[in-house]
Amino acid sequence: MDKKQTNTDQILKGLLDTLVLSVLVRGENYGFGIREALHEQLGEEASIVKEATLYPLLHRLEKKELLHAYRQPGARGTPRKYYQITDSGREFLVQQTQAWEKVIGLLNRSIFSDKE
Amino acid sequence: MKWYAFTRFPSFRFETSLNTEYPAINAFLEQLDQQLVGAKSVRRLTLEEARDHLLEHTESLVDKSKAPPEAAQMAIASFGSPEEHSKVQRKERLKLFSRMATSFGLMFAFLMTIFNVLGGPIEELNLALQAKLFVFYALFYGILMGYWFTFGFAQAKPTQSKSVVDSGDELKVYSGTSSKVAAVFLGLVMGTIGIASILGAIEIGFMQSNGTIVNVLLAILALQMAVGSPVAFGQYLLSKDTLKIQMLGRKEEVPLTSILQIETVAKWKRFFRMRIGEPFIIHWQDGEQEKQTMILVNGEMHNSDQLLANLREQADNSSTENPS
Repeated sequence: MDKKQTNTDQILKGLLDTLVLSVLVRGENYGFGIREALHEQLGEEASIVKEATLYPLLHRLEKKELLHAYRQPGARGTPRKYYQITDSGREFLVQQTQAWEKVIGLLNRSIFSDKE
Repeated sequence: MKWYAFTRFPSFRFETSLNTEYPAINAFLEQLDQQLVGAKSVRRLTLEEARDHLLEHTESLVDKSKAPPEAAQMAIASFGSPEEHSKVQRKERLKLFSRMATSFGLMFAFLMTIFNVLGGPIEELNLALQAKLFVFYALFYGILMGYWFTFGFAQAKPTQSKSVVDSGDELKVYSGTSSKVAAVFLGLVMGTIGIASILGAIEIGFMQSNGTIVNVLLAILALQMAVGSPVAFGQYLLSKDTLKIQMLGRKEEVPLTSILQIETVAKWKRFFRMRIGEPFIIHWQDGEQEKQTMILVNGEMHNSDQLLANLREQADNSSTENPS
């Protein structure tokens, strides 16, 4: 993988926290449900959401207390784990959204305005 | 043999009850299981989540007219390799072990050192020996307790859905039989130590050689554990309107619509009072008065996570309706 690809992955990785929280702010959900919601939102760009990174991300957000999780009996014979956003998670989402809006504003005024 | 194989004691094999109707998914789960750490109940947490995800994805592809074997292979390819997922689980468990071993080890080492220091004449205190004993206690208790909480223990299996209250039933939060047996044992042992320490503090019995201060400290710690152990015999019942708390010596009801906030007790506050579980404070409105009710939940209680999820939702709804 070349350095440009790695830098892009790092940027997208930072965005994934925000994307996952934006799904959960609409209501609690489980792993595959979150994946489907993200795929619906992102369309062709959905490949950035790798399932191998989704669950570690959810566990990391849970450890930071941005999410709570609970298990309950599932329809497939084993418990299903659900994730619920916390107040801290909502605050973090607001902060991250504002930060990304700022980034978009800066890019629009600089690099993207040059392109036009 | 991988270094982590011993953590899988006593259940080293894949649990075939997790098998599905898709052989490819079964093979994936078995490969994943081989690379996970922890006893069966710990490994199940990862395997169940993976199984649920793969089945959902497979069946969504079958709904889109994919042949089942092809759908299963596509779901597995999208999910990532067993190596990727197991590496994450091992890393998470190692971090948990480090945290648990450090906190339990230091706690026990400090307590034992305090008892050793206060239990004898200060002029006979051997600092070098105490330092070695401190390290020994920290390592011994830290590794023992860290191992148990990381590789041996997992949350009790949920038996009811969170939404059961919506259909008019009660969500029951309770401890299983083995927890009750352990609670009786703990209560008896800690109760005996507590009483013996009190007697020792007034120079009666075999514990009098510890000295008054050590005996008083031991009595406080032991009796807290003894008094706390009956939590295993209590239960919480959540209906659509009310949370009923039914504990030994305590019965209380909290109307759900009056809940304002669920507060997690800060870790430093928990240090001063030993409890068998994690305490949460429910802030609720009783007429003009704001009240606080504590509930204690632990990993051995069935459906405790669903209870907390319901209570948090209720508190969120209250703050949305009545923003301060």
